[in-house]
Amino acid sequence: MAHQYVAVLWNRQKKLYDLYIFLGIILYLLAFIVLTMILKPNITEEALIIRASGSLSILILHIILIIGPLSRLNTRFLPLLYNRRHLGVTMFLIAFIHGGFSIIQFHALGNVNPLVSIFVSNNEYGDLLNFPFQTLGFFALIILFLMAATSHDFWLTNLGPRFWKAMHMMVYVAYALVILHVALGIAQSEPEPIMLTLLGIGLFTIVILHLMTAFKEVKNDREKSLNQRGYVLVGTVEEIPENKAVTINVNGEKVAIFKYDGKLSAVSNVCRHQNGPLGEGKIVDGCITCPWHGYQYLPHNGCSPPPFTEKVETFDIVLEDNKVYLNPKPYEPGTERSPVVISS
Amino acid sequence: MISPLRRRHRLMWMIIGVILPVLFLIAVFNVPEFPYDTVAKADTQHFEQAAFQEDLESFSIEIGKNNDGSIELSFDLKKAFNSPAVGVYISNNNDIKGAQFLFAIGDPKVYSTKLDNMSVPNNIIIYDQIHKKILSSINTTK
Repeated sequence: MAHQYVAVLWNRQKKLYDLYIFLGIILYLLAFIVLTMILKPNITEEALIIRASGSLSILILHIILIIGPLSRLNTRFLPLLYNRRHLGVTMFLIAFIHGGFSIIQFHALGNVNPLVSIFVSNNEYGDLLNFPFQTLGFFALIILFLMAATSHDFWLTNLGPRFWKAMHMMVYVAYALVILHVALGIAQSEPEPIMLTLLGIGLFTIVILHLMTAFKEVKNDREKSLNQRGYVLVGTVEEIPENKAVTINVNGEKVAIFKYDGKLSAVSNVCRHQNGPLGEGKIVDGCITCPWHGYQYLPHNGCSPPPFTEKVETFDIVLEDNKVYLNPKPYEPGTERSPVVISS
Repeated sequence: MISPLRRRHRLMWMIIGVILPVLFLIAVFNVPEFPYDTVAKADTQHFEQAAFQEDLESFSIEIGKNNDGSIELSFDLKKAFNSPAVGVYISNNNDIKGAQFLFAIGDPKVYSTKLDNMSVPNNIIIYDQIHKKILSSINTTK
């Protein structure tokens, strides 16, 4: 959370996160190089670089795509989400090394422009198994470049969270292109059973986790009906955990009802930063704290504490016979609403 | 995520979740069968009576008869090709269409395989499977 743009707003968590990324990369590369030198001692340096960078970028892409649904299914994985954009940019740089070396190795030695050569050296576009798989990798790299280049709050603010998030969902398309790039490329010419098995496991894990998350959201997205006074029943006070929230869906979007210090307040569930789910966060230092990147809001008015300026909508709630009711009509972002005091 | 993006996420994964595994499985089940058991012998094989021999800068080929009467082709790759997907084929003409695939070559080493046909093929073709290009064609009848 920052009130001005800096290249990277470093803190201890981000430094630790990046240290683990760096150590993981070094360990993987060492293991890959040693194993390859043992199993294929005559491999050329170029082939080693291409294969090490290609396999590493696919591994990181799988980790990136697993973090999202795991965090939605189990909050213990939320710390992995915190600095995922550094993982994404790292993955792009490694994929760029793979793509760059591949283009030089396989397309730069002829008399055709290497970028043109990717598209014209094999014209069997109508044959799935002989498809020019390098074009798939090329388009995946373009998508990953766009995402890496806009992985900063400057772009997030200027493009708007909705457009930015929609654009970054193109990573799913890039993932599909990468899987096909491997399945129609190296898997056809040098099929290693272990590689195909690991890739298959990765693919099915990602697909199942994302579908599980998507359908869990469908269940949560069902709207509750209004009572005669136009209020929605949230549940009993006991059903709301202390310093946490429950969410209900009204008017097509979720509202988070927080319980803290013997009080209840309701705010929009949508964080202004990346539209993260505030209702899955908790109260830290008296502020609702977004579980994705730690953006904070005061529960009674939906405003970020000074000097920050983000604001979310607030809602009225009523407590009757230990039951919590929500008025689904939102107030303007940042509107003060007195918390409901829970009588003991 | 906001509601419209949740719907988009769901739609994207319903499409990807069906199409991608299907394409992946099609690709896996159609991987060409490579005669692994006959390739990559440790040592260069020399036949007492070679039916054909060719020694070039980057590779050498030898075709000869084994004791059991089978014909065997031995391919000694001295220097790796730039393409990662190179195959050795035999054909009765200088055309990859209709040629019989023998094995893929990658690292510099000796590859060998028994030939189904009991006679020496007319042509041995080294083929770049990515660029769909003949890298070298050896005429054994010269």
